Amino acid sequence: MAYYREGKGEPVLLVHGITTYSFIWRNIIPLLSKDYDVIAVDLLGCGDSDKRLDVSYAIKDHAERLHEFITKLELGKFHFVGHDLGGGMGQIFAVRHPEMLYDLTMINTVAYDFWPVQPIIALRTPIVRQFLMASLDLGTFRLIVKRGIYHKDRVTNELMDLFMRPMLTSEGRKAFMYFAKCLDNHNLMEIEDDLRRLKIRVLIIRGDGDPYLGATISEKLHREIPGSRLVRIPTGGHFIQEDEPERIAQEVIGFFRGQHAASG
Amino acid sequence: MPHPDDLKQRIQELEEKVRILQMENNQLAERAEDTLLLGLIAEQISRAEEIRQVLESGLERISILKDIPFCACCSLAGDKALIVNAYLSFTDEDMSNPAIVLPEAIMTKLAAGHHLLSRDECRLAGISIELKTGNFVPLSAICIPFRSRFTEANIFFFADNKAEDRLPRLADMLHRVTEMMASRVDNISLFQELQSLNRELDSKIENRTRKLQESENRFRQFFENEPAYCYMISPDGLILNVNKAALNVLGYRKEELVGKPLQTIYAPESLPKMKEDFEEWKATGKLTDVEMVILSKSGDRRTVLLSSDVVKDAEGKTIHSVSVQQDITERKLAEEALRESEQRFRSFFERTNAVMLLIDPATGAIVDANPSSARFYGYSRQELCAMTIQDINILSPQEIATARQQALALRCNYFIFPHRLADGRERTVEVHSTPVEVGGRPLLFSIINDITERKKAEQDLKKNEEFLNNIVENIPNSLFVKDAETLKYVRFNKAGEQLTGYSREELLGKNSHDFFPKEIADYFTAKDREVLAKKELVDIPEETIRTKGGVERVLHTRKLPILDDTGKPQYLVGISEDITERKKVEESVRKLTQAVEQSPASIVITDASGTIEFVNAKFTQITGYTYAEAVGQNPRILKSGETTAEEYLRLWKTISSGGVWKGEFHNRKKNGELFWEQATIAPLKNANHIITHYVAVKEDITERKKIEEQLRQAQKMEAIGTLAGGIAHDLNNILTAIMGYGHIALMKTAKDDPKRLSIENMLEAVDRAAHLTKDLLLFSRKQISERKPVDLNDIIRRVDKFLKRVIGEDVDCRAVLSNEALTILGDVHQLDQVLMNLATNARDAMATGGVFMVATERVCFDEEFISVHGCGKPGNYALITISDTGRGMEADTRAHIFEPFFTTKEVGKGTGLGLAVVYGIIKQHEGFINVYSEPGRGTTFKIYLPLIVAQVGETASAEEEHPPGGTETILLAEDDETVRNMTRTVLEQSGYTVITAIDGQDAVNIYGENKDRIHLLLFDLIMPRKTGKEAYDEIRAVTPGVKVLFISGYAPDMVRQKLLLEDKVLVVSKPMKPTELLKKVRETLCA
Repeated sequence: MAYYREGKGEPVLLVHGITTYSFIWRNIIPLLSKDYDVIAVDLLGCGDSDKRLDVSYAIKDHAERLHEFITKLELGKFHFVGHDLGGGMGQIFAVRHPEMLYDLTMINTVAYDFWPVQPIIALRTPIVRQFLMASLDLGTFRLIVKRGIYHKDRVTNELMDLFMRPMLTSEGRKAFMYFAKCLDNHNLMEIEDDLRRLKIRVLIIRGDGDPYLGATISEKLHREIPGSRLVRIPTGGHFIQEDEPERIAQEVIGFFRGQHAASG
Repeated sequence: MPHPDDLKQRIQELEEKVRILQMENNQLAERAEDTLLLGLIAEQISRAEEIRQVLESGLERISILKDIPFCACCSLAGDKALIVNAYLSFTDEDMSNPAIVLPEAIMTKLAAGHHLLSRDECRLAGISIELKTGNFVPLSAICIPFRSRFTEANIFFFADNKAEDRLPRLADMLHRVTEMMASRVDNISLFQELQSLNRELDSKIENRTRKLQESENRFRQFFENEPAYCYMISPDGLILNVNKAALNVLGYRKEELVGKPLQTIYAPESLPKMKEDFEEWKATGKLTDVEMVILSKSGDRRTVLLSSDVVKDAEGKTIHSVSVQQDITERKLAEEALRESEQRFRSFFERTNAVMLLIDPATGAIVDANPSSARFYGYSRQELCAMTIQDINILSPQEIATARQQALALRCNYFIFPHRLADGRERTVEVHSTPVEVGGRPLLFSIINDITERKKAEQDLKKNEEFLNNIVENIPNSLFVKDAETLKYVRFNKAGEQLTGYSREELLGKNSHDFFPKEIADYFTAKDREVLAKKELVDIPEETIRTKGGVERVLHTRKLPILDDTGKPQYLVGISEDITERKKVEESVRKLTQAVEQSPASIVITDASGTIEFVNAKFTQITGYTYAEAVGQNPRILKSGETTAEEYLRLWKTISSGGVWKGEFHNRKKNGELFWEQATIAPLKNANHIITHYVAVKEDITERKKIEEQLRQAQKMEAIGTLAGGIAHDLNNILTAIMGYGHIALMKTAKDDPKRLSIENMLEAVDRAAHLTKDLLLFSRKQISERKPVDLNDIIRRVDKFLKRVIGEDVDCRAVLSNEALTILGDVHQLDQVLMNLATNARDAMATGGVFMVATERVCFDEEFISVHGCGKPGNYALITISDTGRGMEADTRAHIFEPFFTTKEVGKGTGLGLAVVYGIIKQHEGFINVYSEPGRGTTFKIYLPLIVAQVGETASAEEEHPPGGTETILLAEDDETVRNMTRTVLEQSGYTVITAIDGQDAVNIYGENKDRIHLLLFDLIMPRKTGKEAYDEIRAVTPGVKVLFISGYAPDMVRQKLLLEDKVLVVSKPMKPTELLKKVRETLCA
């Protein structure tokens, strides 16, 4: 498993979702690493990590691999920040290993069954399927990414190259397919009750410009997780890290320190 | 109301309908999507440009998009399907076994066109795909055959292991995809094949075109650039093309000729021949070397050799002919010229004065000889032509061969041989031989030059050169030659090598800068350039070089330019004489001359006969004769007659016999003044020891003589002084006795006794005598300053009598003294001497009489007076003016009068110390002295002495008739018996007890016996055996504090000085008055 690490302080684990890899945090890491030991992972099958097809890429298994990874690094307690599927992994991690976390931050996260139910037709899942289709054609791909970013002028060729990089090899495409195939919302449905009993502090950040995941998910999580905090950012798309990196960093740091930055 | 069952059925029907509709809907949706996917796949495939890419991307897309785990493209071989390309969605490994085993039944089915394998069939067939991680056993599969001419693949194999049996549904789409891929593969293959063919074809065409082009180009290039004139001519005789060379020679432009008949270019005379040839050409298609004349546009004719050939097409039809004309005009002309030349040569050969022979080189036979040769050799032409060259050449054939080889080695095209003439004479000839061909026969054409005279001239020249070389090499002066352009040495002689220390190998080809320090080299170069620029000889009297060994040599160099015929400098010749040694000698001579010239001694050099050849500056300065006046004269000009003839004779004898004479001359200057010289005269001899010159070194010793004289005078005065002192001393003893007894007699004589007057007169005469001795003593002693307040007028009054005696009777001596007393702090004796000295000078200045005056007055110096006179301090002064009416002085003399030993008096008459002493005394008195004098107007001295306010002490005390006496015992030591007795009488008469001793030793002895009773020692200072002082010192050693009173013939202060007496010790001077003696005795006893 590949990862990127920078800074000193309390550890912060940044977990990406499907269709991206650690690059998605590149604008946020420098803002956090001033005060924190920031670790951004590439999940197995993504980015620079191995593209094995003989292990499960289900999110609970990803969550479990993250646990092993953290243990191996001997991080002790840390802040969990997950985006998209990474948020789902955070929920599982929080339920299974709450003692390891200072807190949990979910950004444009998946949850419950608001996401594709049939792994077999994972390709019907919004974005995943379209991504795959798009990977066959750069023009379409660009459109998909552009839809997921609020500030359209930030969609540059360089950014597109970063998104596309794993899809350039047959191996990468195969691993992506496999990841999609492994998705199972049962993993999150199982812990619905556990979430309501969650004791750790939770921050939910919702980009209101996310066209792929609806607001309902964040609202329900906020409602059901006791003491959770919901921050809505109107100028954030699905890939909100590209839209509002400073804001995310500000909210996250404020949350880590127990302060509540002005919500917007 | 419908029956519930109906309703239920209705609902069921509806539900069924909905289900069906939904299914249809789903199917429709799926189809729509399939269509979309097909589109995507088609696009992807269409983008691929290679078969492998088509298969890879097609299989991957179909697998991903339709989620078919195994998609492969295979070729059937027997019972196996060999995998050509495959995509496995579930593994990342490469397949280990790229073949799928298919049972025969399936193969049969496939062959029958069936391609869908049911699940059962699959299971029954036991299809299994081997993978490392375990075999993949599909639940269903579909095989789709396809035909492509260009791949070995012929079947697509899709396998699924999902529970749902999807493949029947997907079959249609998979068919279409495989068709697309097959078609694309075919297309690509065809396209590639086509492309390859195309490329091949293109390449072939290109090759052929290029070759054709090359051939064409070659021909065109050949045709165009051929130096011969080339034409392409149509079968009917028209010009089709013509090359550059032809155009050039004909003077036409190409378009003027193309299309014109061939006749255009031929000269009229060639036309008939042309027609003839044309016929031949027509018949044979060929023409070879036909001589024709062509005519240029401007009418020039050229002779050409024409060759022609035809070019035919495949069918053998003539296309055109190509004619080539070789221009032989020049050759023709040359042939003509040669013929003419031969004729000319023959004529030349016959007529020339040069000796010419034609020789057969093989035999040496003379083939032809011109008339000149007949004349030269003295044989007839016929005779010569019957001879061989060996008959003429004196050398043997071997020698001739050697000479030829040497000539060859030297690349010389001529030989020098000795030839014998018919009359037997030998001539040295220079033979120029050239091989020629005459009538196809190789011959040697020889021109023979008689160089006998030239040879001789050359030898003479060589001798001359050797002669000059010898001179150049052996002259003792350095000689060098430089190139005028580069200033590099081109010639250097032996002396030059020896001088510089550089060998000529080192020097030649180099310039001055290569050898000499920069400043020296710059100087040389500048001089060289100057010579070359002026084009005339330049004489450099002195220049310095540094030799290889670093030694500096001084050269006298002449540089001259050697000009070529045009007057341009070609060489620079330098001849240098090493004058280093001469310079050294000159330098030492210069030093010597300077030394002689500046010598403080006067130097005279005469020749052997005594004629002056040289005198130095000192000589002219001393004698007053200038150099010009002295040279040529005899030293006799200095003769004063003071030196005796014998002395001169001795001098000549000494020096003419080679000895050195030393002695003194009393000579006379040009102005008549005499002077003393101490001279050393020595002869100078030449190498043969013959006296050539005499040199006299003389020192002016006039001054020394004068000082010696003065010294003698001083010594004389000292001697006189001592003599006078001695006389005065003895005289004093006598006078003391007379005075003593006179006084005793006077005391014993009653006041009214008539004898008393006689005694008194006698005593007065004694008193005068005593004063005279005192003056003598004053003259003879050195003064010790003893200053006390005195009235200046008193002093003058006192010495007045004495002065008058000094001045003499001829001079009117006057004293004008101020009325008031002029008290100064003065030493009476010194002031006396001042007046005496000035009076003496005045007397000497007034040999025939005059007035001498002494005046005193009081003056006051204010600041202004001092600043005017430049001396003294403000205050009151006594002024003594002493003037005479004598001859006066020049200003020059006046300036020196106070210097010691300066005198204008005759020799022996003055010490030169008088005024110096005066000056010294006045200065001691803090006063000053001025002199005013002019020749003939007398001299006035003004002496200023500072006045004081003190009272003058009583010098003259009233004479006591009866001085106090005493009863003490006195030891009296006096060697003069008269004085001893007189003194004892005086003392005893006053009550004292007197013990007498006859000298110092006696006194010591007597004191030893009577020391307890003696109260006073009264000793004469000068006594035999022991002086009074010595005796006193001895006694005092025994009895310290013993009282003493000395008696002396000398002045008391002089005694004090000489004997170092303590101040308290009193001295009484002889001749002493009894009263004075008694007074001093009492004084001493009471002290």
